[in-house]
This record gives sequence, structure tokens and C-alpha cells, in this order.
Amino acid sequence: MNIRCEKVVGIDLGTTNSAVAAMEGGKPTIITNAEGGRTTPSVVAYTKTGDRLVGQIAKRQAVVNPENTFFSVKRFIGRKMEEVRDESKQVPYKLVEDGARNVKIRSSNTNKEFAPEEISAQVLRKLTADAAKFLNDKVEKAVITVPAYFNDSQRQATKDAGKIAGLEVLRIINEPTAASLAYGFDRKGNETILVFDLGGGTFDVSVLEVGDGVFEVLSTSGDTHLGGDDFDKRITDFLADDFQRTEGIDLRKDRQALQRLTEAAEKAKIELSALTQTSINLPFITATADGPKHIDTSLTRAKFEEMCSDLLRRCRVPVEQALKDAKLNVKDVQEIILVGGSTRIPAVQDIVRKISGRDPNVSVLAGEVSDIVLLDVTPLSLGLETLGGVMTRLIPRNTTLPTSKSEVFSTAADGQTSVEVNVLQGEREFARDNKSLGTFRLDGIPPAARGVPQVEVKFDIDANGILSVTATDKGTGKKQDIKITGASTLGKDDVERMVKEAEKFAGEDKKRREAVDTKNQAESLVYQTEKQLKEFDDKLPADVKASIEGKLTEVRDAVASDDAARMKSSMEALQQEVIKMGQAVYGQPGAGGAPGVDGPSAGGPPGNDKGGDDVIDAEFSDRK
Amino acid sequence: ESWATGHSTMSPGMAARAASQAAIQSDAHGYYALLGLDGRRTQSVGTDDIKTAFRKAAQNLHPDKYSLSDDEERMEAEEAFKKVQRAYAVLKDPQQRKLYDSGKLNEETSLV
Repeated sequence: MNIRCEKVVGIDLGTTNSAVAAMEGGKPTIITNAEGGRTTPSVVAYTKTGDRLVGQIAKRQAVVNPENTFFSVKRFIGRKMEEVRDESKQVPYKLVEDGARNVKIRSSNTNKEFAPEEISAQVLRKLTADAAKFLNDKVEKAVITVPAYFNDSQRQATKDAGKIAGLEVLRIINEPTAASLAYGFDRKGNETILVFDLGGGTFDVSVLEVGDGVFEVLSTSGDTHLGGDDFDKRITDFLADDFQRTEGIDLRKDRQALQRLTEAAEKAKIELSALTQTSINLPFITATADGPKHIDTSLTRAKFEEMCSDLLRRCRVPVEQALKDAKLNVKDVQEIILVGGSTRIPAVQDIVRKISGRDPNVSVLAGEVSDIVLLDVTPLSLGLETLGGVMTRLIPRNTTLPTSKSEVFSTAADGQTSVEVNVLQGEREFARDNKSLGTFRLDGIPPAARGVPQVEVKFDIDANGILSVTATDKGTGKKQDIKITGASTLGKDDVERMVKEAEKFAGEDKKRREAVDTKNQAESLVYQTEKQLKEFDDKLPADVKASIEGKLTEVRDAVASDDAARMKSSMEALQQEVIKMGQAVYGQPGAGGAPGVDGPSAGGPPGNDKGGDDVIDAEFSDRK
Repeated sequence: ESWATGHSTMSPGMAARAASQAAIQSDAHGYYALLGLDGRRTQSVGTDDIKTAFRKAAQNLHPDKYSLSDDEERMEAEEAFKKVQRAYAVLKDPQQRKLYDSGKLNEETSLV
């Protein structure tokens, strides 16, 4: 057997923040990013100069660049414009509709339109690049988590984002299932768990049964339009309405002011989890003919809870639905696990306490991973549009995955040679109220009397919850290729083009990064050398000093010219001279008198590429 | 006679064979046999037995266990798992199981 040893990472691609974990010594470890954080904001920005920023640095400049800073993109992935009308009004960047009515994100700074998949891919690329650095290993394979309630299009789009980021996505796992995994590693006996996952943009509830190493999802329910962002928006509206009443200006129309309001709202919400009252100060939020205007107000927890009472009520529905679908009573649940940043809101914890009559478990345990199997379910029923615009269910929701179902199609008219089928996902009775995953045509049916041709269509939902469709003509036994059109996901060609573009950008980024690194090195070397020149002024022969100064000027010029190649070559030349300086200083009797200088490291062997670095080390030890 | 009970491991092939053999008997669609249970003495099979049997099958056949295998082997396991899964969906539900045991379960829920 061929045993491969490759690093597989698990990625939590969140609406507001993302995280990466890897197995280290049999235990899951959260990877710290390049900035030292355990989570990375899921934010991508394009600056005026066309630079791409990802993560914390992108988030930090959101206020000054609101139209080109893309956050909460997860709300738009795999969606049609008509599905996200409300959400599109809540973000300060511009969304446009493409020819297939899919959502595209407009960046004025680059004059480009991006698919949400591309933006998410940028986040994934940063996460895996940081992971590769942390693990000191290549990272090419990943497991990505998605809200359990994501439909087929959203799952497919997430998988495509991974592909665009250059990743092989081994598995799409539902977020609550992944959370239960972290919790239940050490559990031996049978246990029924309810996972309550209220994140930045989505709400998921899953009921699981754990035992014999099998994590079986019994049911899942949720609300893809409910999350922490909605709680923020209540505060934003409260502030904006108040301001409009007193000043007559709608701050929501000013993208920059809206961004500041949104940030202040999020901060206030977080503070209200620990405090019963918080103050909100936004100086110079706008200006009128009378002069600058400020916001200086306070918000109590009670008022906040009142503003969000309907959101809190909405949290109950999926819990009740999930229990009902699992045919369980809340008393049958042994453990309730809270996941997601928004479950830190005390009122949310109260709701859980009220529903369950007990304290939820907020701490996530992690233990040894042994032989486990995750049995996820499909969150939404799959069906087809049939006569009269009705949805006919083929695979009911909460069916364990993978699963498949066949359906035989025939013709409705004599001599008919093709059938068009609309594939639906959802729980509503009428086709138009459900999500259309696209339509496909069965072509090339031999002309015959109606009802005679028999085409068997097989619907497969894989372990990731992603659908594939195959058709066989039962008469001829011929397999047919089915192409689904009109889906809110990218075509295969689009994905491939985006993969290439992303790779190109990654190459350019690397070059740009190297250029910045080189410049930093050069500037540092100049600084250190100048310092040493001053320090050892009296010990250096005039010719050594002159040649070092000459080389120094060359490096300075190279830095000024922004020419990386020149910087590199001049730096090398300078380093050689610096080594001579070391020899000159330490070659002299009594040179050891320089206090604290680590002789051997400063006088490294000539020709050593790291010569310059060693000098710098000596400088640091000198400073102690 | 011992083929139907207490399988600790079950290959895709075995599961399929078990299903076809059992279909002749009272276990009409071979659901018990798919789970490695004795379909002729269904009264003695408890809900916990069904659960345990399904978990064993899942450990053996779930696609995640075949991520390093070749496509053919993985596909075979996946198809076998889908069948086991379908059998379990019926047998774990007391009402559906009762219908199935009395031979009244309609085609709708039969294997694909």
C-alpha cells in the first residue's frame, strides 16, 4: 500500500473570521497566522495602488477604503442576486448582477468584478500560506467547514473557492458536526448532543448521536440569514436613526460613516457581553454647514436586548425544528454545545437555558483523534419540478450522506426527443419557493410514442452534500452527460480561469513580497553599518572606511531606485566590506575590549552569505 | 447458516451478496442482512443491535475511510454504504420497521 504523508489542514472559513487547524502529534492544533493571531478576519481589500490586502491589515483600513474592502462575503457565495437583496444593502461595497443573475463584487480601485468565490479564495490562500509557514510543510489539501444549512450551490461555490486558492478540498464538513468532533473525542459511551452554532452570518443547529466512534447527525436546521452581523445592524440602525432625528442626516448613505458606525456597533455589542452599559463615541462622524458632528451616546444591555428581541426569538425556531426532526425531546439531549462568537451574548445563552432548562457547555474540549466516522445529513430536501409547478421530493432532508435516488423519466408527447428537468432544493410545496439548483436537458431520446422512452436519472449526494446527476437511457443502456445550467455557481471554465489568475497573482505577490523584504534588509544593513562605522571610527584604517562608505552609498542608491536586483548585489558587496571591518577591528590587539561583542559571530568566515546577519546579531548583543 | 449474524467486518461485496441471498426470505429487501443481522428472527433484534450494526458498517464503508483508496474501490464502498444507509433509515424507525417486517413497506422506500 502506498502511504502518503501530507499535511491536511482543517479550515473554518467564517463570515467574519476564519481559522485553520492541523493535526500535530495526533492532536488538533489551531495554527497562528503570520500576524500571531489564532483567527484571521475574512476580509480582502484592494488599495488605490492596486495592492491586495488580506486579513487584519485589510480590516484595519476598512474605514478609509469602504468601497474596496470586502467582508461578510460568505453571505453572497453561491447566491443569486435576488436571494440577497437585503444583505446587499448592508455592506458598503457594491454588488452587481452578472448575466446569469449571480452576485459579483465590484472593486472600483481595480476596476474589476470579482465572484465571491474569488474573494473567499484570497482568504483561503492567506490561511494556507500561513499554515504552510507554521507547519514548515506544503499545504495542498484541506477540509473546509460550511454552515450545516448551506445548500448545494453554496457548498459547490465553497469548494470552488478552495480550488481557486490552489487547494484540493478533500471534504466539506458541516460546522456543527466539526464542533461536536472537537467536543466528543474522548467520549466513549453513547451521547446525544445538540450543537447551537450562532456565527457572524449564519445560525445552525444540529442534533447528533455519538457512540462507537461514529458521529451521526440525526437532524440539522438553521437560518442562513441570522448571525452576529444582524445584532450589529440593530445597533447601527439605532445610532443612525437617533442621529437622523437630531441632525436630519442619514449616515447610512455615507459609506465611510456607515463603516465607522458598523465597527462601533460591533464593539458595543462585544462590550455588552461583559458590561451592562457601554458608551459609543464617534467624533467627526460627518460635517454640516454648522461644523463637524459627533456621536456620543450610551447603550445599556437591556436596551440592546430589547432591540434584538425578534432576533433572539428567531433562535428558538431551528432548535425546535431540529429536535422534532430527530424525533427527540429536549430532555433526551445530554449535552448542549455553544459554538460561534455570537453565543457569547448573554441573552443568547439565556435563550438556550430557557429552551433546555440547563446550562450549556461553552468550553470546547479536544482530545485524541482515533477511528471516527462523521455521518452528516443533507440539510434540505432535494426534488424536481413536476406538473403544475409543484416540487416532488426525491431525497428528504436529514437523510444520511452519501445517498442516491433514481427516477425514471419519460416523454409527455409523441415523438418528443428531449425533456427539461428543474432540480430543486428546499422544503416548500411549490417549485418557485425553493432554490433552483439549475436545470438540465435530456436530449437524444429516440422518437417514440409518449410514455415509451425510459430515461433513468440518478441523483447522488456525496459526503460533502454536493449533488451530481447522471442519466441512462434504459432502452439503449447509453449513459448521458448531464450539464446543469442556470446554477448560482461558477462554470468549470470560470473556475479554471480563476485558478490561473489566482496563481499569477500569487506569483506577483511573492515577487512584491520579496522586493519588500529585500528593501527592508538593505535599509537595515545600511543602518547597522553606519552605526558600526561610528562606533569603531578610531579603530578602522582609512582605506577600509573609504571602501565601506563607497559600498554604503551604492546600497543607498539602490534602495532609492527601488531596484531589487541592484539592492541584492550592492548588499552583497557591502557585506564583504563589513567582514573586512570585523577583521580590522578584531585583528587588532585589545579589540576584545569592545564590551559584550561576540567575537566569533562578528568575525564570520569571509564569503559567508550570512555575514551581514552575523554583524547585526553582534550589534544586538552589544546593546544588552 | 452463520452468514447473517455477527459480521464484524463487511466488504462491499459481502454486503451485496448478503442482500441478494436474504431477499428470498422474509427480509424482503435484505435490510437486516445488509446490516449483518439475522432477518429470519427479527423479533430478537433490538433497536440497539441495529444501531450497533449500522455503526460497524459505517466504520467499514464510509467514503472517508477510503480517501486513500483507488476510485473503483471507493465507489464500490460508497454504493454499498448507500444501501446500508437506506436499510438503516427504515429499520431504525419503529413504525417503518414494523411495516417492513410485515412485508407492507411500499416500493417508495426500497433500494435504488
